[in-house]
Amino acid sequence: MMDMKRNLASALLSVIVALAALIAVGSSVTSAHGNPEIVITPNPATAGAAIEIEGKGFDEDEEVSLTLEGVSGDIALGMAVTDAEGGFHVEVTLPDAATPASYRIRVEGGDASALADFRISQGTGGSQPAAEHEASIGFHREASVGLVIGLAAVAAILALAGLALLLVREQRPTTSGGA
Amino acid sequence: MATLEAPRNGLRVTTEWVYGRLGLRSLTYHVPSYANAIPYLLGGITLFGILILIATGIYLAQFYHPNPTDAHASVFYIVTEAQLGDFVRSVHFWTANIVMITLLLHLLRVVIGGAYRAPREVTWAIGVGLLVVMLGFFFTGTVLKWDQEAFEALGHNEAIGTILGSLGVWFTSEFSRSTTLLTRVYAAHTSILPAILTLLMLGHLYLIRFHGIAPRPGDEEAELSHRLQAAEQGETVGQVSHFSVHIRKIVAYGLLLTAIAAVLSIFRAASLGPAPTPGIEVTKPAWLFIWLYPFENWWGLKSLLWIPTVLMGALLVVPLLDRFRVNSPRRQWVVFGMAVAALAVLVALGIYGAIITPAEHLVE
Repeated sequence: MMDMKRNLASALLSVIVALAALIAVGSSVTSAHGNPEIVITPNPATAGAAIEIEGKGFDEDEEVSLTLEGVSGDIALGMAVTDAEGGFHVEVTLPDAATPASYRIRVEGGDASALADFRISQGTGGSQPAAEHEASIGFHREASVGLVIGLAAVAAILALAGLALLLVREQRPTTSGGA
Repeated sequence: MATLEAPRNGLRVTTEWVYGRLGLRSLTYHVPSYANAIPYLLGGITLFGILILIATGIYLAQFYHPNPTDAHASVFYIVTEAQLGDFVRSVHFWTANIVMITLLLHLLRVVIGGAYRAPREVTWAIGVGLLVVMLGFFFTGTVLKWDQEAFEALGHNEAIGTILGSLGVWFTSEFSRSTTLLTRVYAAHTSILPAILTLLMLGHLYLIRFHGIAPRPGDEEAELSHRLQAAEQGETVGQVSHFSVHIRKIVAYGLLLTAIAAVLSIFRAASLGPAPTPGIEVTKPAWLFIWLYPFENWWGLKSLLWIPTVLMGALLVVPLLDRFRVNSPRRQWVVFGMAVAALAVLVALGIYGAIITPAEHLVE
């Protein structure tokens, strides 16, 4: 019994050491050029404003793409080229039509990418008129026929399950006394 | 003497294991057979609906952003982009409405049946607390979608907080400069109210178990108690059932209501109005609060504070107001008449509130 416990403990320890080794190796690989990171100024900014994006930790002399990621979709902000040390500094202009909201800016190179939170605020220049926003939510709920049938099937299953439970006959109370 | 054992197949062994480990046999205690009629299942059906609301709410929380800048866009994202987001949000919306209906019908049944009478006054008081919490859920849920209706609802919330002075500061933006009022409403909807609901629900269920299901008007409490005790001791008595049957019926009707919510969600998805425009007041409250709208027109914002407070206070003291010596069928009919009259007034106020022209109350 004692041996079994010892063997289990050894096995567990081996797994932990192996995992730790894997994590250590993994982190050393990703930090070969340093962790890529970006800084955006100003943050927040208004729609239509110019912002500066400064990055480091990318591969040297490579082209990186800059993307504004929001709930409504992605907007390409342009490209930049890193220097001999894997850094870059670029100024881009935010789209005039961008809705005030929280976004992420993603910079993506060949092997490395960096992500930073970014916010487009309601400023005098970039604020979106209410009427414009109102028009933008005139969305269509176009569910596919397959989806509607699938959801209707789920509703039918729920209803049938409910009905089946109602139709189950109650067992008569058991009696143990009187014998 | 040797006895023959039933064949121990896999299903039977598994069932026995589950029953033994989870103590499910304890759910087979006896309840009066009328407890399995729909009026006596309404509380349980409401609880089932709350579980559906929790499940769908957890899914919605994965996409919702409780910040005024992002809230509307994130709901828009749920509706248009998130996998099954529109459906799940609609099921959440319709279940919330159905739950409020079953809850109010449950309250009506308790009032008409006199189930609040001694010794169940505390069970009743906790039930009134649960009603307030559920109304809080309904209101905060309306605010979270952050369209024009939500924005104006929060404006009313803030105005009432201001009327209350230092007592109402939590309901205003003044309470915290580090976070927005909408964010705190989200915290209320997803953590504060659920915590209070859980505590009250535990108390409510414990007291129902402790006192048992209330006798029907005209029945004697002692006679019902005696009958259930006799059944527990194995005697064959009529008009008794098992609690497990009660639970099964609750689940059955709960599933049916969920199916109804799903069908409604397919054919009439929950609405989302335009992003809020500050400075205008063009919407009316949801159906649950629409009967208050005429009062707001007549007496101003203060009426939104005092009328519900007085009403909830009156509900709380219903056991003290009941002067009937016994819970007779005659009492039941008198209370039924009073309840119908009160409902008719509320419906009439609601219809009036729905047809009158929207007025501005926040800009006074």
